Amino acid sequence: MKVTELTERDVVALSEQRGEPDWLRDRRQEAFKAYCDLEWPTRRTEEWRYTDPKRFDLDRPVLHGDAGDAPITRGIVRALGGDVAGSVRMTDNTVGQPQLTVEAAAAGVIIGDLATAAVTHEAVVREHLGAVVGTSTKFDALSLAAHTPGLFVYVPPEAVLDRPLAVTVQVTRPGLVLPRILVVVDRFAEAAIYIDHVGDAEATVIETVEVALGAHAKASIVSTQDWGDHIDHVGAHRVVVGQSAEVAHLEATLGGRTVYLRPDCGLDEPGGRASLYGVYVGSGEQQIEHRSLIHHNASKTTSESMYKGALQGRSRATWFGNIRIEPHAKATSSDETNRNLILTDGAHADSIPFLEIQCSDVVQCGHHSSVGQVDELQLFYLTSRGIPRAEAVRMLVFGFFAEVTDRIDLPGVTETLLAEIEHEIRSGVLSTTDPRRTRRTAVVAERGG
Amino acid sequence: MAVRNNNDRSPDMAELQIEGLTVEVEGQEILHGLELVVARGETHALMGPNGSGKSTLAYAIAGHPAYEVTAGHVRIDGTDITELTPDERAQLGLFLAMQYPTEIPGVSLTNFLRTSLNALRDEDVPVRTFMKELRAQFDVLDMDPAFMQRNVNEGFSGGEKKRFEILQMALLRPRYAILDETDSGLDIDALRVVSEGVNRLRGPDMGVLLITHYTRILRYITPDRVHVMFAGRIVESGGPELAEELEAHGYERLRVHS
Ligand SMILES: Nc1ncnc2c1ncn2[C@@H]1O[C@H](COP(=O)(O)OP(=O)(O)OP(=O)(O)O)[C@@H](O)[C@H]1O
Ligand SMILES: [Mg+2]
Repeated sequence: MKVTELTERDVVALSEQRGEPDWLRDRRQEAFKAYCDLEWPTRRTEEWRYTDPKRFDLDRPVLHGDAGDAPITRGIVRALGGDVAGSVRMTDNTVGQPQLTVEAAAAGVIIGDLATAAVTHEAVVREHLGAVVGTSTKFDALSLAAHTPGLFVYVPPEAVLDRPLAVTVQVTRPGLVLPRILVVVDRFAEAAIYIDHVGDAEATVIETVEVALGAHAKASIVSTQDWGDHIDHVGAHRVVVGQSAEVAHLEATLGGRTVYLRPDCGLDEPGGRASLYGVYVGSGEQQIEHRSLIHHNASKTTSESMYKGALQGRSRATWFGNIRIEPHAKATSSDETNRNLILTDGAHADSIPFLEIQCSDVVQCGHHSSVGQVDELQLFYLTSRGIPRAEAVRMLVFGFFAEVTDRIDLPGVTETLLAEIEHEIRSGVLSTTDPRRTRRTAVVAERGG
Repeated sequence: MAVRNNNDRSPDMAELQIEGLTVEVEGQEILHGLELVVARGETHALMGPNGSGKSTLAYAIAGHPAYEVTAGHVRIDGTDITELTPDERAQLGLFLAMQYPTEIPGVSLTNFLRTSLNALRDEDVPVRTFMKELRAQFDVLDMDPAFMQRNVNEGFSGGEKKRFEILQMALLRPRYAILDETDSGLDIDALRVVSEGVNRLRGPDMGVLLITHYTRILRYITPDRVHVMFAGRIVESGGPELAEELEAHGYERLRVHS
């Protein structure tokens, strides 16, 4: 089956095959109708000006049958070595056997297949599935209509987890895969959820991650895109924040051939707070886009966004950050920053901050954006102390990312990310020659001749 | 690294030698065939009015990318360093305490110093040994160890930056140190601490080029020679008394005979 030839019958069959309740089948069918009414985006679609949607091959067969088997060599979850409250692996089109500690299970934490949860936890799944990320774009509608595998992660009211819940999305076989994850952290609950994206194959990944935070909940969501070089990944990662709830959301995009993410945040209830962080490193021919909407949809909501990226080789990155403040959302604070370091001549970054302020009662709203190179004065200072240029560049790149990683205090995250960033930078071809040397040689040659 | 192997240098070449140095900045010639020799074991003071090219000389010696040497040579102990990168010059024993040290956000002071020390000693100095040496230097320069938690020069006051430059010099133990107005912006106590720091390192193994506007520091650090720079050239050299004379009469008379 191909998504370009998807029929309503396929959608119904998929739902039945997975033993889903009627309401979920109906929801898939509605989404399918929306999908049929929407056009595939093209380069001319505003949201796709910087990443050509053709990079996502839709003619690949949707993965079915048994999952492949491949060891996991990257990601934060692997680095944690099992020190988690619960974990599960989604490999290709299947959901593996979830693991939960006794304490987490006793607290009522759920981590497992979405089809099952649609029966056992109907009320909460029904409330949120497709409500956080709806069917307004072709990819979103396709995801709700045809997603598989599906995963449900639930932290019940007042449960406080001292160790993270770990989800690994792994792709091992060529084709197209449609994973969908629903995370609900209920009122007054506290949890950290890691979602690693790993594996490599000639594959298209169309993914949705919905996160809903109840009132006064506190959640950290860490999503790493740690793919190999052949994955094209388009994803909507959206968090809705309940009253006086607080989310810290980190996107770490290091791997993949194409990664196009929408790390959106809906501050729909008064007093909600969001810290939205991102780090990305592009190498080779990689193309990365983070396009986020921070939606201040209630009073006294606060958001801070900071994305930083380093680009080498012929890689390209786009950051588009939209802060929208609704007329009824009074006394909001928001601030967004994006900084890019271009490490080699062939790399490129676009940085586009965008503000839609429809309310005059704003406490603070700021944006900062830049695309630049490693500072030559800083490089001179370091090299004048005997540090070789390549090493000095690496130190400055780390220093650059420290502004983000210093704000993250979660087990395993900073160490793993810095190690992986170091690996990416080392394996990239750095232009580590002193630019002055070529010029100097030219001068000498001129004088000599 | 090949540049470290310098055993063939003859003892009479133990000097920092600047020969016919012409330097351009942004296409404009600032130094015009400058000549200067600082023997190892000696301390030379370099004075001169604002804009005469003292920092330009310092940066050109250290290999700053914005300062282009269009003629002449700089040699360390007989080795021509004119075409070397800044780190290769440091490997040969050169150190520049900068007039305006650069702030480097995100790079911790300890990480910086350890990387630097490892590179210069060409070994992996054990963390404990390193921390011991570092603490000793903090002590000598009367610097608060709390600075160890901070990033390189980030948010340091002017005087703290100067003190940290001297701390680096003490840790890295160069053969030739250029101190570009390290005394400017220091309070009286700091000036004494910094001068003592320099004096402790002086000796047969180190040559110092001390760039300054004030004779104040020369009361602590007595120079062997004093040079006066004017419009990109050394126009006068003499003993310590030359500094006193400049203090009394200013640079005005130089303008006449230059
Ligand atoms: N990066 C630069 N771009 C343009 N001009 C420069 C640059 N660096 C130095 N110059 C010019 O070169 C000349 C010498 O400057 P330099 O900093 O070497 O003087 P100095 O003797 O150190 O002065 P001071 O006593 O004020 O520190 C000045 O006219 C200065 O404006
Ligand atoms: Mg100067």
